[in-house]
Amino acid sequence: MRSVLLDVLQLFFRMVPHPTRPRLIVIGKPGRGSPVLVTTNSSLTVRRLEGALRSESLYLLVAPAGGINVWCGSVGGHFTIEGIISIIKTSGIQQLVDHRRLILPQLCAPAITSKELIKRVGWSAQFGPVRAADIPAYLRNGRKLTPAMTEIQYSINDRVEMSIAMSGSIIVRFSIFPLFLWGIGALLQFVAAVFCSSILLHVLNERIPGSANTRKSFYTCAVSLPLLAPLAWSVNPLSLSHLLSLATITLGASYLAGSAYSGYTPFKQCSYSKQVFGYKPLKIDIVADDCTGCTLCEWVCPVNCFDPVVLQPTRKVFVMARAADCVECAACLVQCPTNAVVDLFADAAPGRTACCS
Amino acid sequence: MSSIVLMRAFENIPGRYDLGMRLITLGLIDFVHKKIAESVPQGWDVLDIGCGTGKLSVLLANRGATVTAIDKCPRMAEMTSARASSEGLSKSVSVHQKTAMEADTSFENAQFEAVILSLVISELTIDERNWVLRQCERILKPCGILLLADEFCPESFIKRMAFLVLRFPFHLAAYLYTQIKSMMTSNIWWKLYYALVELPLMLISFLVGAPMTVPLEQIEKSLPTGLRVAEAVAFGVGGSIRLLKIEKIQG
Repeated sequence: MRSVLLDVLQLFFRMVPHPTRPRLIVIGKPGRGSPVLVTTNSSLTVRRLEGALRSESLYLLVAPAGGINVWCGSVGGHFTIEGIISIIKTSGIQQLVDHRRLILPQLCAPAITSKELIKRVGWSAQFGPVRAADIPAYLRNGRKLTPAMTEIQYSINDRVEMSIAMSGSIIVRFSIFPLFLWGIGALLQFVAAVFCSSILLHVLNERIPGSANTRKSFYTCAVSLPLLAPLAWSVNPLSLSHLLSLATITLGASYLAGSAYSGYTPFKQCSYSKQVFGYKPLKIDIVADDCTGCTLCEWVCPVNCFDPVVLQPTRKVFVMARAADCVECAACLVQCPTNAVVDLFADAAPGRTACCS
Repeated sequence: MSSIVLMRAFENIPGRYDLGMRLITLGLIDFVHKKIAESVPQGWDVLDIGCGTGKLSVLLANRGATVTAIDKCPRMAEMTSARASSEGLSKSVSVHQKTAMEADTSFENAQFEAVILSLVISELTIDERNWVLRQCERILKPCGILLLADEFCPESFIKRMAFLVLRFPFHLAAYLYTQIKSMMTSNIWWKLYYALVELPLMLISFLVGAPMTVPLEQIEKSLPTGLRVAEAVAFGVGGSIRLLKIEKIQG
């Protein structure tokens, strides 16, 4: 009951942190060689992981990260190496297992490197799959990742879920305007319009023409208006002025949905974080001369930007093959052991001129 | 003394950290620093955990102490070393980017005469706090002192509620101020727009990551057996900010 209530609350208020106590969770009956997984102290993340790992035997470390999920936390600077150090020291995990290997969620790659963890706390780390549902298969396969496990997928369930979460954030932020300008009826229309256009935008995004999401939102407005008109009709007799105000509200709601869209999908960098909090844009490339072909960038990239290229029979390097897909998470930049991955927007280091692709 | 979210807002722009800290302690932080500096005799080896922008470390070094300053935020550590070298104190202030949670591997037994935890304890979880206090006991020399400055609230429920109600507006004002200040856009209209639109969310975030103020009695109870509170100095109206001088018991 409590869990269902939390689910609903956290679905609608997804945009604020949901902290839970950082702690060690023992799942099943782990032994001294059992895997040690790490996640953040977001209440939703922890509950979902516990659900996905119900039949496993392992230790789960919940690291302090301000109640923010792994992906946002690692890019936004909340899920840090310090949080992992803290939970290793306070949980007593060092007395419970003989090995010193952590399994990290792959999406924390922008913030945490195994090298630094070894240096600072003596634990090594490897990246597990992106999705919690893949963890049992990953553990059964002897901790081998398949390429599908390392990529973000945006299934229809996720799309509906995120569209509701996005609607929640828009409604909480903006519903005060229709309420004060036109009253409670307008508020209800606004709420309905936000839900309608958000769901359309998330579910049908790739099929809507245009590239900018704010442009796409005009199409969703055109679709949601006829859907909402009968609803408004049942409340008020549909006069021209009512229809006009409904159209205005729907247009506004659709536009807000379009501009918020990028922050609520895993594929786009949130434009808001750039505008408001000054996150710098990145333009990632690989210096072929420095690349050793170690494949790490390909594994940590959540959107599969990189492709291998065989230069000589014995030498393989990676190139930036799909720059348009890049989400600017900087995982490759942080993880590359030879600093072959570079940000073209940053000041080019002297001597680095030959960039391939 | 403040929520994690609030600290983020400060730490993103360390230059504003001092101002924010003054705001949230109602200007008392300078008095606290002065009092701490007076408690540390010349020539002592001091560890400043959570040095922030390094005001206290430099103050101590100016008075003749040898300071080891650590902070988990890399930019804070940079600012501390910049401040120390600008005052010509880079020899007596050594700065490391470390968290308090690395004390077990970084410092020797009985290495310091004084350890300072200024506005650090309330940033930690209960487990972290107990761990750090045990480490402080270990790294202190016999008769060394632990100087612990923070905002404390009364333990009795009614008093605590009254205290929180009184403090709430100040915390909230400081939080909103720093949130709006930390926005990178320089256009005042965008700032106003964001402030207006984000206000409901900021309020929710503030309530979720509520300011963590530690009851004083809780700290006294969670001290390891080798440490004992020798003196408590209260600052400000109602004495919500306190400096605890904690001694390491010999033997």
